[in-house]
Amino acid sequence: MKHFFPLLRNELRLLVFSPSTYIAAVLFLGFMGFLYLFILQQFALEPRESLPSIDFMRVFWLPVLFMVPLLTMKSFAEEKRVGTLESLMTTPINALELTFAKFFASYVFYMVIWLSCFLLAVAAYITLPSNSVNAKLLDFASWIGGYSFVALSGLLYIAIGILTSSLSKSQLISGMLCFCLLFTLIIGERIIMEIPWGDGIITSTLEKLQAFDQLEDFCHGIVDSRPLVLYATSALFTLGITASIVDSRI
Amino acid sequence: MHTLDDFRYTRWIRNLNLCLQILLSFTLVIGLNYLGFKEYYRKDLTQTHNFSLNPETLAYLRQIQKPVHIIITLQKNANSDVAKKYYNDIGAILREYQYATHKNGENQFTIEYVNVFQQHNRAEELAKLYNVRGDTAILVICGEKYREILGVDLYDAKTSHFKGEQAFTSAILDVTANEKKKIYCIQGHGELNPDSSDPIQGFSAAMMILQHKNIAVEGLDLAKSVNVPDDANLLIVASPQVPFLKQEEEKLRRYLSERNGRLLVFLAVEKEHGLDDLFYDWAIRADNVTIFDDSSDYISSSGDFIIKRCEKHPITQSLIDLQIQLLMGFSRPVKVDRGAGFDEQRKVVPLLYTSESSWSQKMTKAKGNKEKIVRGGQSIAVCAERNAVSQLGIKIAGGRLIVFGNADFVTNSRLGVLGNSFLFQNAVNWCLDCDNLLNIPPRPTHNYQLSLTRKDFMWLSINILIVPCAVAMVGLLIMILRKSN
Repeated sequence: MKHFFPLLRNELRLLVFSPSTYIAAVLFLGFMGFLYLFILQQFALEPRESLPSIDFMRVFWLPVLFMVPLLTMKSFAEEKRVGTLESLMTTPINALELTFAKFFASYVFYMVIWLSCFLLAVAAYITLPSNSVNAKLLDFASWIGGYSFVALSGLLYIAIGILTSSLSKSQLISGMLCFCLLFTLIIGERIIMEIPWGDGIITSTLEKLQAFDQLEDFCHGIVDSRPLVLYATSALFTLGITASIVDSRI
Repeated sequence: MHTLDDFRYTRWIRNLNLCLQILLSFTLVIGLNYLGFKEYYRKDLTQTHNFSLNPETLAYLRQIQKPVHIIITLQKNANSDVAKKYYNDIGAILREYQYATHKNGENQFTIEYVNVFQQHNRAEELAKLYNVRGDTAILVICGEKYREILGVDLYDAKTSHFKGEQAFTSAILDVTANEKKKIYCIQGHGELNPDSSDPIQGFSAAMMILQHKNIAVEGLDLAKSVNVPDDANLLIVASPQVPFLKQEEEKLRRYLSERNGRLLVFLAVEKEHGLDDLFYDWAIRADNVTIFDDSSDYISSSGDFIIKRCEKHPITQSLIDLQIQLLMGFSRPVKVDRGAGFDEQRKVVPLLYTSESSWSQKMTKAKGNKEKIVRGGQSIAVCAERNAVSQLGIKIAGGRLIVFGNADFVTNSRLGVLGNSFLFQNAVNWCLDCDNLLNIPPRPTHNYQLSLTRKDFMWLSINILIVPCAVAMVGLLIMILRKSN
């Protein structure tokens, strides 16, 4: 993996100097800012049992469904379309290094813009008069828990984005495929759970995969090792498949 | 050319190799997750450990050796917010129980969510086995023992405190206990029949409640038995029509004083009970007079008395919280006997009062005259307890006695009316130590509301907008720097 860090540095440099990165970040933060403002307004209208940070994290799926495909669809699809992937693979770089470099570059960007959302809470905290209720805007347990979940689930979601990008030369197809897979994974599971499977292994397995249930625990400040194992191993597996696909299609 | 040198075969073998790699990796992922889900770790990051179980609960759970199964028919996607809140709060606390009880990768605590609208067979099975119906049931099961947890056990009246941990721990301890609690109903004095479904003379409905609580009920004739059985957790005397014999009274006295026994007495009006000496020992007085009332606020349309005044006590707490009234027929006053000798280990508390407009009078049957004796609110139920002192000098719960000056509120015709059933259950729980067995504080359920003026909201919008604008500025700066280079 000696080429991994130069590759990652290059991918990150591309991201930092790309105007589309900033456009995406501004749109994302604008959208999340609007959501946060809406949530705060709901808290002003009537008393609620959860914290604004928890309600904010509960809508994590909304930006994930759109941001992850947009962020990752370019990774391999663009290289394939312009033909740079073949030339890249003629160098001593192997497919695994390349896949991991692209994955971590997207993941770093994904986390940076998610972490920027905490600034929204800081802005609200500074703006609103200081009292015990407003102090809860920066409730660290819920923010740390929520971000832990975003970081863990992000591993798998970005890995899926990278995988779908390696499957097609078309960014559009890659993006759509990624959206569909993420939708199935996050929302579809919930719909599938509505089917009465009985008290068997299917139900218990599906229950364990429920992203929303895991999120509830994390948002309330309870960190659990099970999602860590689930998302880390699934992400590694997905990246392994991606590397094999990249390797086999050249 | 050799077959293996053929490109088609090479590609085929390569693809096969790839598929095998993927398959093996997949099994590795499954295996790791299987282990990861068996041996897991949870950490509550909140400062006050809002979601962690109380050390007392953890200590109890560590001792549990039998698997506990919980069945919940509450629906995740229920229409009402209250049902959703119940579901979420219960789900969150049960995950902590699961974590606390998993040993060597095995979960001793299993949870089954049953959708009674979709899983008809299972719903029928539950109805048959545990007599539960509807979409609000919570059952704690261990082997053949089970206990149902009611909504009232989970929250206080204003739903400002969640008492789930107390309710679940209590239920788990109950169903995992090796011995089944046993109640004896005293017979031989014309008492209410525990097996009869007669609306006036039977109290089978009350016994049904006890059986649902996993309590065994048997009859006991004190005149025939040498002593109160060793396995008696509680004795119930329900409306004796003839007085107890002195030797029977002595057996009860010894049971209460020497064996820290528990006795629940429902006295009938206008009947001699023969337990005066026993009651005197416990500073309770139950005169043979009847309470009358003429206030329309305290008389129901059927002529029954409405009891609204309760003293604060674990037995009456839920009635006070839920503002539930009681409906009773004629009662006799049951008071704290101020003339009884002082005993620092004895604590006597009146529980229920009639209205200020009530009065008690002795019924002189021979002449039919009514002699007024006391006016004003009368106590009609009293509970007494004694703290026993252990050899180490530590105070432990001793005997407990509750005397009600009314017996008809537990009969089949009246048990289901207003808060009568609550009162009966609370009295039994108190006698059996089910109320204060656990010193687990309820968890406050917080409500947050922001006070946002229009001006605050405007400034909030502007400040929140600063964040994406700042990122846009950084991007713009980098673009300018790049172009200038």
